[in-house]
Amino acid sequence: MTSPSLKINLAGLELESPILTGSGTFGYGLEYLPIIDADDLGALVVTGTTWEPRPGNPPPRIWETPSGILNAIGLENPGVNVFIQKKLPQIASYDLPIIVNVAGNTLDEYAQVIRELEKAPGIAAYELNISCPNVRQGGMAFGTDGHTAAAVTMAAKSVATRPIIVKLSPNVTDIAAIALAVEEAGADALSLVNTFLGMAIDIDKRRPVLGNQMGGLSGPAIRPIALRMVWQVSQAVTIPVIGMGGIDSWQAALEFIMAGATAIAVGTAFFINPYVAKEIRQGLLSYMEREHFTSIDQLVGIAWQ
Amino acid sequence: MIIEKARVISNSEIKLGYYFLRLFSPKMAEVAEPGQFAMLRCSYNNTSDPLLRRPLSFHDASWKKGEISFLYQVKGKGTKELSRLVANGSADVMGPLGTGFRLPKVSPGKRQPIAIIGCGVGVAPLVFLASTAHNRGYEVRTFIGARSESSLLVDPILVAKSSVLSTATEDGSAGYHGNIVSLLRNKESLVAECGPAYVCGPEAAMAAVVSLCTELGIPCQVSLESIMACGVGACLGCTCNTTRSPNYTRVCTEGPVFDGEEVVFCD
Repeated sequence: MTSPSLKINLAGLELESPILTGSGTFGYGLEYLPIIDADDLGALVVTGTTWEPRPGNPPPRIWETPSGILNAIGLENPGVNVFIQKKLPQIASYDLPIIVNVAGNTLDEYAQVIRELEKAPGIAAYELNISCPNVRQGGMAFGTDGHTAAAVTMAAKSVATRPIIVKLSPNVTDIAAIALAVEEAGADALSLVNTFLGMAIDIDKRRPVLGNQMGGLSGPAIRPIALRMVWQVSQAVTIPVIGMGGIDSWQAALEFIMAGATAIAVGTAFFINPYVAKEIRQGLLSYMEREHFTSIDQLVGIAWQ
Repeated sequence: MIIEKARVISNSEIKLGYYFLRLFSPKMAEVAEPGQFAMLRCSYNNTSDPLLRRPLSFHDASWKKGEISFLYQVKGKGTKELSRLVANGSADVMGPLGTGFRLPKVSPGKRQPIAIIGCGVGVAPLVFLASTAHNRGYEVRTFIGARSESSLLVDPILVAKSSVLSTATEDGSAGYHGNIVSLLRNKESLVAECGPAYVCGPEAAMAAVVSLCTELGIPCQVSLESIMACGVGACLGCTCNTTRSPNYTRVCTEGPVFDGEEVVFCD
């Protein structure tokens, strides 16, 4: 028997592995790629990129909570031009499909960033960040209303020749409704979920811990809720879903795939275990061999039946 | 960078609430530099709480013995878990990370004095520096402060490597009665000859020592502490304010050691 295949087709992209990196947790890959095996990953989703450079939020920016982390980084990035000139050529040497996470304050800014990225070679797709909870304008504000989520998607689609993946916010009442609005607006795939808005208070100082007061919760703490959302959304839409939210093992990855995710992303878990992608890949392959699956596709949404 | 499960040689409580962890890690011992740190995993057996690794500066590294060591205070959940590591067990350690201390260039034949200034558990990263500096021919003058005797960490390596060793406690329970700045003022002539001064401790103490160094006209380097998630520069979670750049600076990568005057301390 030939070894099972982890190859997937994600919105027209042929990927060697269903394991992606969660935007914002992997930087530009330049910290981790020298020490891990790039072959374990299907694509690299790089940190949120805006038109202008952004300094990010004041520290403290992270706080550990039970099985989770609150973060309020605030989209710190050098801006699209520095990204294209300095970062992109460095990442390109790793021979992995690159998905650029795009953020903006206005509809125009999303389109402007994508227009600039369109001129650069070596980008496979864009992931629209309409779900960052840590910025005042834009970000999550675009992702919590179906009409604006659709408007951003259309603005991006009108200037992009590459696939558009829309990253959804979990901070909504009905995530499937937002997903449908975005699908109708032309999205090629969905990423879910971004972080859950949360906070912590320092009882000695009697103040919020984070410099930004509130932050986004990630890590295993959010996994069951993220999984439920992937389950709901992937059954509501026909476009592929990239599932994420506290995935730190092959078992957790498999849960998301069985719930309907075509691909999965690992984020917070890289901080604790930089080798996590390899462990997930090997675990998925062993499971498939043992259970006689030849292709990972056969497991996508298998729990629906 | 190395990620490995290192054998625990010992992990003992040297003073109430303060632990000394020794790991067998020849590869890391060979490349670690004073002021650098490692990220230690705190949760084992597939638990995810506490979730993050904890950054600890190297207290010492000996390539001859293949050993690295850490001196840490049990402050929260993560360090509590670390304190449970037992001899011959293993510790998941990632490092060496960050930018460490820089020793000055010296003219041949000159025994350049440097000042080691540590408060509380801030002594930890300075021990490795003191022994390295001593072995390279610098004269090490050490000043240690603490709130009281119970948190005064007079490390045996510091005792062995220092030509001057002065201690102070704020409550007067040991050494000079006063805080670190008043100790340094008391020993001003000894401090003023040093260059640079190397400082680690609570932020307020470091800020006060940095201004004193500026006043005395001696350069200083500080080792900052920060909550960290990744420890390698990817997550941008540990940034601090410096004059180095208009943006925030990563403690884990550009630091943890910075020039004293470039750090913008909070009040």
